[in-house]
Amino acid sequence: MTCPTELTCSSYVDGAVSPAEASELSRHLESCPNCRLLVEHLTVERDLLRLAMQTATADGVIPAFVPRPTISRLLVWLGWISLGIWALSTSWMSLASTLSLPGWISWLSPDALGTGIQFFVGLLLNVTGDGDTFGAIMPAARSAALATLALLAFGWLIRHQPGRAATMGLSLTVFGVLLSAAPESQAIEIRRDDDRVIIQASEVIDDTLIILSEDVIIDGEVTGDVIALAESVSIRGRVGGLLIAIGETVDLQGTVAGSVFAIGETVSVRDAEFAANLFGVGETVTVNAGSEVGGNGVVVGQEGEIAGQISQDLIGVGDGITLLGSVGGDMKTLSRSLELAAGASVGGDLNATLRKSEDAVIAAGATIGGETNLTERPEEPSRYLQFEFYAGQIIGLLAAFVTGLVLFRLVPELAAVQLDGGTAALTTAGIGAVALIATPALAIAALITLIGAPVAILTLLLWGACLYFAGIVTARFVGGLILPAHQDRPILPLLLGLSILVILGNLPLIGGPIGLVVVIIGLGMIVQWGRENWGRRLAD
Amino acid sequence: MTMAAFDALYREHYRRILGLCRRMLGQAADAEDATQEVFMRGFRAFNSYRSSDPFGPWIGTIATNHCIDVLRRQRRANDIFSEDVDSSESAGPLENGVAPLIQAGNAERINSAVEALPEQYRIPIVLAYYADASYEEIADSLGISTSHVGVLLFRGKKKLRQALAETTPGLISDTEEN
Repeated sequence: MTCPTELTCSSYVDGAVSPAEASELSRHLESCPNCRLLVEHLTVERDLLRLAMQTATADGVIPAFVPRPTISRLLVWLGWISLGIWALSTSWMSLASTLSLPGWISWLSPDALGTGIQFFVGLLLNVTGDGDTFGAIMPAARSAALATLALLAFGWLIRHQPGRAATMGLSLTVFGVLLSAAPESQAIEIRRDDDRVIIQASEVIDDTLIILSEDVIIDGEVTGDVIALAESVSIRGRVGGLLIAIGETVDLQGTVAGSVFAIGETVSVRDAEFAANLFGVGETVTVNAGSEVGGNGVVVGQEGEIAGQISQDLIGVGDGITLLGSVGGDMKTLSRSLELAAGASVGGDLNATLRKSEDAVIAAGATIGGETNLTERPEEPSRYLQFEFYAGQIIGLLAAFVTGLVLFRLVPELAAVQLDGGTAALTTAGIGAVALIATPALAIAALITLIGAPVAILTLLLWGACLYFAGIVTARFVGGLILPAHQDRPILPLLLGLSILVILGNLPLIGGPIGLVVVIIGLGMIVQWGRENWGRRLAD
Repeated sequence: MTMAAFDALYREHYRRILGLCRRMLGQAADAEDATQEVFMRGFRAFNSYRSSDPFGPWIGTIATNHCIDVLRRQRRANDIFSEDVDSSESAGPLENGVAPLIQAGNAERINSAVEALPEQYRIPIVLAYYADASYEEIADSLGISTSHVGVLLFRGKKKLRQALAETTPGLISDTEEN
């Protein structure tokens, strides 16, 4: 072969020629002293270059490595802060709110569904504001924290489970299309305004109407249902369907063909005509003399005053219940005081439960068609001093324990759920919070559409069951943390975890928030388990 | 993997990466900032690092990529290593022989000559002889062919010899005598 170029020799020295080329070259080198010398020189040069570059390294002080916070780290911090704000505002609100958030014991009782609904109603009340500044900031802070947690959880889903996120997005879209494609009489009109929404007297709305605003005034006609959420709600027109009015002041003067659910600090019914039932919940609930209720009346409030006419039964619960008008059927009350003024009439029986029977004042002019039964129920001492309280706790604990044993026998994976580190715990909590709030919200929305109703009811039942199981799953997890050696034998950790959570949950003031956290974490674990399990089954 | 584990690796490899950045970016560039950025990127990507692999080459690749990014941002790096740069210059025979480099001997002088090289030659030389990268790896990083890597290295070493011969007066006469 002819002598190779210097370039080829350079690549040869660097070991960067093909094996065939290399063997040809080395054969050539044996016979060509010039090339052999060149390659030797290039090799020495390469080694020197390498040595020179490797030896002269910097020997200054190594600065400390301080990692800049990355976006994901910031998000984790944001999550923790949101969780903190949420816990703080929830604790404060459970102290301040008259409609206190669930006592932790309620998850152990079979009416776990009640816990969720109570929580949800509490949330709705908070949205409308309490009046004072602090009272307004706290719910807003809590809503913001919850929204942040939900967003983070959804973002996490998109990042790590794009399939799941897409499914969720798709379901929401389909849901939206279903809502908008529903028959016209079922259509929904949503009005949102920061200031006020007024339906003028001349206006007729042929839809179901949902209004979120500061002030809501309906002077016109709505042929469908009305859901109004505002600081003050005033209905003076006509509602063709049922009416749900939630606000600080709820003033009802119009005509409603369906049942009326009114929740507010003051609920006043003036010269109104309700064809069906009235459910009034508030600090003061008044039904004036010109009002007529075609069905039953349920009045829950510190002060309940009924001067109008209730065609069927009346149930009154509160501090003081006063009847000035007439009740067609029976009247049942549970209150500190009861007054039937002259001219008041009850067609059926009067069944009143009071602390002392002297607190019932029945004027001479009042008429009662049936029997009058006054039942005395003395003031109860603190529940912590009652034997029944402890008995109830133990029965609840045992029920949860048995349920837990069955649950973990059927679904052993739920006992093995682990939270690796803070991020995982946060993720689980986020998923749990979303499941806790989004499920009933979606179900209630689905309930409005005809086709969604059975699905919604099933979903709510499943959700209620999961709320009950959530506490048990968390208890098992807590027990497992304390007794890691008993991981394979569920009895002891479950019993220990349940006992700890029952005690924590019954602590005054902080018991409620602790119960919420317990439910949220457990719910998150159940959802995660379900996701993994169904994901795997789908993959199979 | 914890922060403490990463910090230990950082201390172990800091000087080498600083050297790599200094050599790749040249004297003017702030190599210390680049080094911090390299370890920051390493820290963020630490989850994808398998502890069974050696850390040096892993962080070295991050450093190389980062330095090339920096150079690309400074000017259009695609042009830096373009295959038709200096195409008129043929791979001729050794002009000064390899003697200048061998005889210069002094590491400090060799290094300052390397740092003074134009980027298009300096970077392949740094990658090949400091980072111990193969022609394929260099070709990958710079987005050029392996044969062009050979050409750049060859020309770079030639420029190095010239530079060293010029800064060593005694050598010029020696080589001229040859």
